[in-house]
Amino acid sequence: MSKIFEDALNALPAHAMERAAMSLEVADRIHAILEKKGMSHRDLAQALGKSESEISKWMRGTHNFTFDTIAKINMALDAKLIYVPKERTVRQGDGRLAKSDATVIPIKPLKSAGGLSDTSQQWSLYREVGNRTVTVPLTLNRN
Amino acid sequence: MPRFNIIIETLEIREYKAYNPLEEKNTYSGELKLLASINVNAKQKNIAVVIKAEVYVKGAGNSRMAPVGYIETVAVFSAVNEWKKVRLGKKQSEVDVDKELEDFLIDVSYNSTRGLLSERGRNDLIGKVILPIIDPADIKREKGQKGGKN
Repeated sequence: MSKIFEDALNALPAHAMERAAMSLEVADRIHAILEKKGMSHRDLAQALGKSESEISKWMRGTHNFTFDTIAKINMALDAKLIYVPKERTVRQGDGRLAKSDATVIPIKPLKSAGGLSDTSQQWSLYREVGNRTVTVPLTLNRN
Repeated sequence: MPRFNIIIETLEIREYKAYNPLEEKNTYSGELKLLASINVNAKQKNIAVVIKAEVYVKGAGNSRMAPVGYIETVAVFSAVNEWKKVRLGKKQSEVDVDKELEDFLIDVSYNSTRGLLSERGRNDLIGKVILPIIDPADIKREKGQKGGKN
């Protein structure tokens, strides 16, 4: 790497580097989805009402994508460009099958394991048996 | 349960959601909701089984059930060798799969779902729930989803 280029890179704030990396990842993701769906830049441009040259510009990985643009691309490709993990989040609601005519099996009670040997386990529903991690089975209320 | 000569072509998780409670409890009670649907592809002699499972637990200090996760799996079976057990009508919706075969496919799909959930949900509360072994005949079928000659 040349000294000038290295200096220029160092002069960039860290978040700008991160943003550039994210833009490249988004461009890669679009490219992968297009390839998987057998679509071209032109197809995407038509779906979004943009010019093909604009799509090509995006695909260089320098574009600053807004959520608005990403949402439109999601719709056009029928896929999610960015996945945000929902682990450890609380969602209040009725759930998917709450109002459907589903088979309902009571869980009563699902007890935690006593004598945890590994307190680093995220949930106390695990217990250690020898070298294995065992999930505590639920007890069904058959009444 | 009778054995059938079928082949699992694909097995995948179509959707997975985990809603982990922020507060961990020592004891959980709640319920599991299950739903199955069957779809027939007459051209390829395939039968797809969708299993939907959602676990609800009671929150702290109240009796309201809250969902802690949802999993939806799809298993596609080649039923070429058992095709005589699938009756096709004139209309697209007139597809009837032999009850025993249907229960068998749902049994395989449900038990596969149990395994998939255990693996996929290893970091979530829902993954800690071992889905019980149940009679596939007790799993309700999604209304309007049975059959369909694609």
